[in-house]
Amino acid sequence: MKIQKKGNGISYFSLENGLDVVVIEDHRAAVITHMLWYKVGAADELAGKSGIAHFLEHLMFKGTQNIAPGEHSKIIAKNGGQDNAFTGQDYTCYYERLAADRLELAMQLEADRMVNLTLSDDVLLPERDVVREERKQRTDNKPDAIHFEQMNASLFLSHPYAVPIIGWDHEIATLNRDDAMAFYKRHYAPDNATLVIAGDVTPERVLELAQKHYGSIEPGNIAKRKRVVEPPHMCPRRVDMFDERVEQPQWIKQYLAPSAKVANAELTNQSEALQLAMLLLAGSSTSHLYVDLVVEKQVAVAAGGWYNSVAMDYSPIGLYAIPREPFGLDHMAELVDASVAEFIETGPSDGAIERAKTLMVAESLYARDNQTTMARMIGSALSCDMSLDDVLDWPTRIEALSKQQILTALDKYIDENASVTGHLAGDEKHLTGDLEQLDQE
Amino acid sequence: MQIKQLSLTQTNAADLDVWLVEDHRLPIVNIEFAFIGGASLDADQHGLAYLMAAMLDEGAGDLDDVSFHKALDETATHLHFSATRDIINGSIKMLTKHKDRAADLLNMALFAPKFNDEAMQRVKAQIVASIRSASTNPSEIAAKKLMSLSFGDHVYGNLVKGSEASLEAISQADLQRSAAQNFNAEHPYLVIVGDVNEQQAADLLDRVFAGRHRCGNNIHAIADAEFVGQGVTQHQFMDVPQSVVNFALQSIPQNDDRFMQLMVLNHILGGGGFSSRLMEEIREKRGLTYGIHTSLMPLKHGSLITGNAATSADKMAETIKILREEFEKMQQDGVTDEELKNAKTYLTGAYPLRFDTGAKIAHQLLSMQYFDFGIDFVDRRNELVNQVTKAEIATIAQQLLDVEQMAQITVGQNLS
Repeated sequence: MKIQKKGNGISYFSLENGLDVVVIEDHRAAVITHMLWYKVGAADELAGKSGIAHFLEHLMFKGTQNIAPGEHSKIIAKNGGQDNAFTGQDYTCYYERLAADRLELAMQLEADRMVNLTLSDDVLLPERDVVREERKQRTDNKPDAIHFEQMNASLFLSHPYAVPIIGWDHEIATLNRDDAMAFYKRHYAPDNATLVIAGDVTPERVLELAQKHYGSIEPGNIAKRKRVVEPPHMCPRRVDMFDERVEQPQWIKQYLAPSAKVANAELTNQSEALQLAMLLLAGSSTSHLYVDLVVEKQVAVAAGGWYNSVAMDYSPIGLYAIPREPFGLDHMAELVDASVAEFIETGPSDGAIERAKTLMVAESLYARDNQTTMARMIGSALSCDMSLDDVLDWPTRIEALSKQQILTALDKYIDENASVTGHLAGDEKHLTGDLEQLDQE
Repeated sequence: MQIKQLSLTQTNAADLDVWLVEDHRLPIVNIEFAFIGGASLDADQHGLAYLMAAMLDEGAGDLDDVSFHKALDETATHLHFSATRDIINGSIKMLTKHKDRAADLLNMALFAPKFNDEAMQRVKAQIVASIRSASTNPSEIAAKKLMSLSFGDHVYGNLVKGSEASLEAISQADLQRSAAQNFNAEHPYLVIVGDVNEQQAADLLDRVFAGRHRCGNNIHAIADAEFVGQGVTQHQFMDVPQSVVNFALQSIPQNDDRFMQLMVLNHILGGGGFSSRLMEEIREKRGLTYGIHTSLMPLKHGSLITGNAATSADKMAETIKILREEFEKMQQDGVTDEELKNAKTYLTGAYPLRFDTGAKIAHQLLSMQYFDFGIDFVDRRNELVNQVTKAEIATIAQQLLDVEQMAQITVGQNLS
C-alpha cells in the first residue's frame, strides 16, 4: 500500500480489500471532513423499487449490531461533530465533520455500518413516512419541481436517470426491510467505495487508521455497474404543465449530452469544451444568452443554463428563460434557439474566452479554500469512475481549449431531436404573452 | 488564528472597525462588511434597500452594467451584496494578484453606482419574478406572514423584497439616496482574511473607501419593534399536498447577558438537528415530518424565537400538539443534566468547524464585531458556553417559552 502524492497536499492509496482512499491535507484549522462515497445510487435500483437507494441512506442512521438506532448522529454530536448523507443517481455519500483528533471515531462508526446494519420495522416504517414527507416538501408542494421531474422522465427513453432520485411516491410507499437489506448487501462493501479525508491530518496517519478500521472488512466482489445506453432520439418532445398555483411562468429545455467520462472517452477534452461553451453561452450575467435576451432584447427577466458533467453516463445540457412581460413562453423557444444558433455561428470573442477560462481556473483555486468542497469534488468524480488526475488536471485542460473545440462540442449536442422543451404556466396568457400591450406602447 | 485590530488613519476610513486575519497559504483575500441600515430604513418604500443592494453591480464608475460584470470576471472576483432588515451586507473574494482592481470595483459599486434606468427596470422585473414565485410557495407565505403577525406595522413586519406596487414606485433618485444613507453612515464593520499583511490591508481599504462622505449614524433612526403576535393563530387555505406551520415567540437581543443560555436552550429544544427534542419526538419517533427546527432571530430592534415544520394536512394537528407540549414541558421542567452536558460538548466541539475557510472566518468575525462581542470572543466563547447552568436555562425557559404567547401561522388544506 504505497501512498502516491499528487501535489497541493493531495495523496492517494488503496487498501487490499479494494477501498480507495484520497487524502486532502489542509492544516489551516484543526478540523477534519470524513466522507465515505459508495459507487451506487438511484440509477442502480431495480424496476419498481425507485427510492430504495435514498431510503437506505436514511436507514443507515438506524443502528447496527453495535450502535442503537439514532445513536450514530448523537455520538458524533456529543463529540462536537456534524454528520449527514446524500444520494445521487450514481453515488451515495455519508460524511462527518469533526475536530481533527476525532477522525478515528468517524472511521470506527462508518466502518461499522458498512457491514453491520440491522433494521427492524419499528424504525423502518416511521422513517418511510419521513421520506414521503420529504418528497412532498421537495417536490409535490412545488409545481416547478414536479414539472422538472416530468421533463426529466421524458428526456430519457431507456436510461434509469429518468426516475427521480427520491423515487416515485407509490413505489416509496411499498419499500420494505427486505428491499433495503438486499440493496445494502448487494452494493455496500469496501471495494465499491471511496474514502475521502480532508483536513488537518497526514496521509500516513490516514493509512494507519484506515487499515485499522476498514482494512479487515472483506471485499464484496461487487460486479461492475451495468450501464444503459440511450437509443437514438428521433424527435423533439414537449412537456407543458398548467397549474393554477403558478404565478411566474418558466421556459426550460434540456438536451441529452454525455457525462465528462463518456464525452472524453469519445473525444479528448470534449467535456471541458462543453463546460466552457456552456459558461460562455449561458453561465453568467456576461454570457451570450443573458446579454442577448435579458440586457439587449429585454424579452426575458432571466436566462441561463447548465451542464453538470459529473455523472456515469449522461449530463443533460439545460437552458432556461423567464419571460419578461409582455412576452410569453411561446416566444422563448424561438428567441433562445435563435440566440444559441447565433452563438454557434459567430462564436465568442477571444476576450470572452479568456475571461471564462480565468473564471473557471480561479474556481479550482477558490475550492482549495474549502476542504468540504474539495472532498465533494473529488469524491463525486471518483464515484463516477473518473480518475484523480481527471480532477486535478482540469484547469490545464480548460486552459488549452480552442474556440473551434468549444463550438464543435456545443454544436454536436444542441440537437433538436434529442431535446425536451418544457413550459410551466398558470394560464393561457403565460404562453402567449400580451403583445397587444407592447403595440400600444 | 491571530486576529489583529487595524487602526486606519485615512480620513475616509478612520471610523472603520477593521479586523484582519493574515493567512498567506493561498493567494486569496476575503473581505466581508456590513453597514447598519438595510430594509429598516425603507420607511414606506418597501424593498428599497433590497433593490439598491441588487443594483450595485449593475454599472458603476465608468463602467456600464455588462462592462462591470466583465471586469469582475476578468479578475475572477466574486462580489455579493444583500440587504437584510438591519444591514447591508457585502462580501468580496479576490485573487491576490488582482486585489487592487477588485478593491477599485468594490469602491465604485459602493460610492459611484450608476443606477441606470434600464438596469433598474430589469432588476425590478427580476425581483418581481421572485416575489411571484414565492407567492405560491406555502413555506414562503408562512414565513412572510409570521413576520407581520409578530411585528405588525413596524418595518420588520414588511417583506424585505417589497411588493410589485412598492417596487414600481421606486425611482433612481431613491436608490441614490438609499446608497448614500447606508454607505456613508458611521462605523461600518469590516473583516479581512487572507493573503495580505497589515500595510497591504490598510492600503486596500484606502482604495475601497476613497470618496466616501461620512455622515451620521443610522441606528437611532429606527424605533424598537414591539411583539404583537401574542397568542395569535392564523390559517391560510392553499390547495397543496403538504401544509406548513411557522411559529414565533418574543425573545431577547444578542447582547443580553442571558443570550448564551438561550442559545444552549434552543439547541436542545429545536436548533440542534437530530439531537433536538422536537426532531426526536416529531420526526424520529413518529415520522410526522422531514424536519422541524427552531432558531433565534436577534434583530437590532426586536428579537424572536422562530420555528417551522411541514407535514401532510391530516398530520398537522398532531404535529402542532406535540410541538406545543414540548414547549410547555421545557418551560416547566427546563433541561436535564445529560442534555446540558451533550449540548455543551457539541457546541464547544463544533465551534472550530465555523472557521475552516477564509470566507467562514470573515463571516464569523463580522458577526462578533456587529454584536460587539470584542476581539477576544473567539477565545472566550467556549468558556461562556460551559458556564451556562441548568438553573439559568430553567429560568429563561420559564420566562420565554410560554405557548400561550406564541404566534402561529399554518398554510395548506383546511384542518379538521
